[in-house]
Amino acid sequence: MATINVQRPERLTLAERLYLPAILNGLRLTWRHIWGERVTLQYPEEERQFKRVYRGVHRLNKDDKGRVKCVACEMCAASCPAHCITIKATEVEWPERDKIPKIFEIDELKCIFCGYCVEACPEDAIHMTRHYHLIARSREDMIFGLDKLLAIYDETKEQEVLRGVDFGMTHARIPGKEAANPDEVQKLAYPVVGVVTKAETQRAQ
Amino acid sequence: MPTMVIDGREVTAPPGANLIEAAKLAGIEIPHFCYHPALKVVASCRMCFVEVTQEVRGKPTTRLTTACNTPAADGMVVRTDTQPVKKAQNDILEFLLINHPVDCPVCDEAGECKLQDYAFAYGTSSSRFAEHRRFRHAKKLGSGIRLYTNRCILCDRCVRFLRDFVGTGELSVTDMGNGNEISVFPGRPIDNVLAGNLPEICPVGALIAEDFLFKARVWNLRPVDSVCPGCSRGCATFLDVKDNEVQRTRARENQAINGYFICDDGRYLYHVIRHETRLEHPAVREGDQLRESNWDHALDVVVSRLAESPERVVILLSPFLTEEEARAGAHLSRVLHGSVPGHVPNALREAPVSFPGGFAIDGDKAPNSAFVQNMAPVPLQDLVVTKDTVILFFNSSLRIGSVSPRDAEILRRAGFVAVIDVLWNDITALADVVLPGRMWAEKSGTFSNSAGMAQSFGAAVLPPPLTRDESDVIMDLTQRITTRISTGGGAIP
Ligand code: SF4
Ligand code: SF4
Ligand code: SF4
Ligand code: SF4
Ligand code: FES
Repeated sequence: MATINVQRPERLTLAERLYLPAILNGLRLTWRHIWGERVTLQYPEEERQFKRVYRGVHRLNKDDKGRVKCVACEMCAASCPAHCITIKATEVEWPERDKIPKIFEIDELKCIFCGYCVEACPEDAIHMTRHYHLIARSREDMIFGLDKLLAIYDETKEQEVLRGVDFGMTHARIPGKEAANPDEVQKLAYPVVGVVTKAETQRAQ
Repeated sequence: MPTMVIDGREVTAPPGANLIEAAKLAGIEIPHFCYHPALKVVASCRMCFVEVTQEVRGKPTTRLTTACNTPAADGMVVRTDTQPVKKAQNDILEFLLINHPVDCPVCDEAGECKLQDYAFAYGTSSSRFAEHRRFRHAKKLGSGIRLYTNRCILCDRCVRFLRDFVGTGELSVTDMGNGNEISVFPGRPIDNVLAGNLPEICPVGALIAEDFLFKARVWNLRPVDSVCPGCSRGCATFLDVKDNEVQRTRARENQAINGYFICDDGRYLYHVIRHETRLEHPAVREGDQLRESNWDHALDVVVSRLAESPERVVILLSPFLTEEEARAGAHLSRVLHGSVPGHVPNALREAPVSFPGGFAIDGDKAPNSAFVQNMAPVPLQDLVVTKDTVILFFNSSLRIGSVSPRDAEILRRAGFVAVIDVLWNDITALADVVLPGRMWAEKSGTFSNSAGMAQSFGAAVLPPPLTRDESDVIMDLTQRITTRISTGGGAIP
């Protein structure tokens, strides 16, 4: 049998046993805070401002034509540890893309706000905003669908939020988008993720 | 039997085996694209390089060679992991990826793609290609097959399959050099019943089945070992399941039947599971109407008719039943009146088809005819059916029209017909009681093909809630009837 040596705490000193010094010490701290800087916010009248990389409610981004950017690859769903993303794809006949989500649902109640989905997305289509008010009347309402996630984008598109690049993801040569960090992209393996556009073909021919 | 050493392991390969097969016996994988065991070897992709040391004119010589077109020979020493081999594999992958769009996020093959797997396992993730990538539009080739031309690595498998195995040869490589492209001839789309195998044969995501397009990512699928109920050939299949729905059927290798392939009839038969004519609740005839009912009432109606005069009951089995169900049906018949049941032969018959590669499709479009005929030797037309006859018909046919009009006419003559079925069809229309059964994908069982080979399959999806397993219904009926008969035809105690 293994032996574990346990360090017993020293016996209390006289000052500690007297009890009063500790109380006074605590009161001093309270006293200091009463007159110090106020930290309590009067929510909901006041709201806390978080850093750009705060992981709040998701949004689904739109491309420069205002269409959903997501290509329904299910990488986010595959990486989600809470299994809270449900995606069903459908075919579209857009010149540069043919696959988009028909259903895209995030169960915000199951979500643990880890940000893996943002990290996994090869299209930079999903971000996390600084919104943290998650209020709904039922569990069903907490399942955010395509409409809602796109609406959150419209609301927050001016904001700087948590993006794939914050995890070191580089989204190169996706039509209509510049590489996040061109130098890094050069070093990357086969950085082309997404579909080559018609315009590019014509250039090539 | 040549004996050689591969990566330090001694292997004895069957005569005629190439190095890929020999290495496989030793549990070593040699990456390959163009080689397929059912097709001719062309050694065009150059992915399968290995280092072979062999005596050449008395001197041991080491050279880099393609494994797929090197027959295993006595005394060979093969290395699959040396520096030159690794360099070759890496360079080949870099070449193959020059024009590849790497659009894995939208490619249905991702997750079961050889190119993806090999790039991960054998590539070094670097490309020096600075030019514009070649771009080609996707094309519809016919028979529900699409070519995502950009993704093609020109391994030539599809061309060889259609030319040598199927014998129709719709595909060929057109243009030269950088313009190389898989195409059909103008106005001649792919048109054969084995076309559905092309997406499985294609090692990358170039050939895609429209039936499966964007339906699911493959890592979310759960494959279930199944057997095709499409004909008496009984090909082994996988049913790939997600969200309690069969998403696609794939061939499961069985060299004793059709090897690596299945036909399109069997491949797309799974759509019948969720067909709109699916029978989902029991029904009992009232006047000239079939009214929705519940199991207890429907079974009571059947049992009271069966128990009235057991000697006038005819139990009929269809060739769509599993072995277990046919056995249970025969048992019920013995309990009732001590004789064997009859069978209703499958009326859907076509001329058998075979292909140059050895693939054969049976003419009998039911899965278990041989076994059921064995269990229930007398066909319906040889049975005496009058207006006093009470018929209990276990049909569960996946196909409309599997009962011939003449047999249907005989059934119409009977005084009472109860049928277990899975679809609303011409037989349920004439029945007095209709009981909803289950399809092959919803239960486990065994089918014997026309050559007498028995194969078991498992349940892949949950059945509609009000349906019941045929064996279960037979057991239930047997029990109710024995109770009824032993209590002298009176009420169930
Ligand atoms: S933040 Fe994490 S838990 Fe929430 S949806 Fe994304 S991956 Fe899933
Ligand atoms: S990873 Fe991005 S592109 Fe893929 S399904 Fe999720 S949000 Fe859409
Ligand atoms: S389409 Fe597929 S099978 Fe045919 S040559 Fe291209 S990669 Fe090979
Ligand atoms: S040959 Fe017969 S058993 Fe094989 S897949 Fe076709 S229909 Fe099914
Ligand atoms: S598998 Fe050997 S060259 Fe293609």
